[in-house]
Amino acid sequence: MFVLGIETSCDETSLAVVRDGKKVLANVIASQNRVHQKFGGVVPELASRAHVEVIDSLFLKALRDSKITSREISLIAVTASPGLKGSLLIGSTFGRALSFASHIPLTEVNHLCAHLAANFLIEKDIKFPAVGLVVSGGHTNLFCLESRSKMKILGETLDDAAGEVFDKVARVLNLEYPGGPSLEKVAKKGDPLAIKFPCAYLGKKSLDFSFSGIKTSVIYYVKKYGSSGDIADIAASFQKAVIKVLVEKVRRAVNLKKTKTLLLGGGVASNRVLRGEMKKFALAEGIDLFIPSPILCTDNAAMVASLGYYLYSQSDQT
Amino acid sequence: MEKRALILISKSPGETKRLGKKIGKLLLPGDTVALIGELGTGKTVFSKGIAQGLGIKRNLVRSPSFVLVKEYSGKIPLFHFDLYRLKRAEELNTLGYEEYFSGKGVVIIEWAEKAKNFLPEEYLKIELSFINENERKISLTVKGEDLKKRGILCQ
Repeated sequence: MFVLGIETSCDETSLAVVRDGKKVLANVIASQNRVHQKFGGVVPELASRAHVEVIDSLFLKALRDSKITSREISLIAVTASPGLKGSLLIGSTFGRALSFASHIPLTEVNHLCAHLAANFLIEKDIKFPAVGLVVSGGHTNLFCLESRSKMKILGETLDDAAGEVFDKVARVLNLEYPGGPSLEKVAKKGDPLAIKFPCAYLGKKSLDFSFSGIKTSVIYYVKKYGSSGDIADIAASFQKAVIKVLVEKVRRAVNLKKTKTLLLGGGVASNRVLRGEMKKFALAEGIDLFIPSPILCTDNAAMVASLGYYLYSQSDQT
Repeated sequence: MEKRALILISKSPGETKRLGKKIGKLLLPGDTVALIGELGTGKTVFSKGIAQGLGIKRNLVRSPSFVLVKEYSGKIPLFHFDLYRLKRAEELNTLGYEEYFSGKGVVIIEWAEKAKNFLPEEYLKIELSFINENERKISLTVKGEDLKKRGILCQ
């Protein structure tokens, strides 16, 4: 079964064709950071018009890449929320029009759940229940997954998302955009134990996150001492504090749900230090850890198609 | 005409939030609050307070930096803007912002200085700045005659 995935929740416009929820046949992405030459120029951030301009050609390219015709599509999966309203609207309108005109069923998926579904795009066996952590520029959420199609939120950030504080701290340190990867690069040369920034755990049992305290503390540190000498140390220490919180919250969720499976997803999941720390944790606890490849950590439509496939097959059975 | 500002000192995020709550209780549908201040000065904390004052569930309000605007329903609906990621004010046009300014709810705008031309004539301006790691200077100014008549700052 061929599923067409559509993702336009934020800056990236992406269309994908995925077979049976697993095999990616096409996954085309047009973004501000990685502009595909073919479509020329930079896609302006936040402009839903940008999605409109590229969505048709991305659709045709996805069909060409996957060597199928639009008639072979059996299901359309589109991101319905959360995201920028105007941007989401472009994807869902495109999907609905195609669904209506070609008599193809359409299923709407949650963007955060789709980030975890990026892990389904591999052949490996995933045992459920599982705990899932979505970390990106806009979100930090813990999920419990009963199956590939059943996910429930366990916790979320009460203020800033993890990727958001990476970006904001990067800006304060005058690092170039996009802030997350620049900060990670600079942090490599720094000492993560140089400065102790406060980690907020919100009590012993909470599965929610709060990163604005770390953010403010770093900003104030830079204000007080300047950022000239030890940018690398500041970046490394900050990164360590955020990751420490993420690992601790995952530990709590895994213990609470008594599961041995952990899935990561979202843009920040491509951070190497985070990947490394999660691997260490998983190894020590005997947990099966799944992390998508960096390209599947970013916003993409393959993950949307995969989740759509499982949601649809599930609803079919009942 | 010179606008008089009320200047307060907040000693903690908790105090900033409580001040926001007090302000929130005095707001009416159609009111706009412009929040101005560097990263980490407590704009989102203040917004959380306003939301509490409006009767919106306590922990619901988050930083909207990523999505630019979040809507919350309470006794009075709240439209919480965050223009941090905005590069040019004109980008606001793509958000359909007019709909939010139509008077149905309270509008909070973080990083309001990025879109001065889009602000309504009447609004409450709140500027936050660092004194030290925990303390903040919070300056409140009322813009517009009708809003002044309500005497929000006197209360």
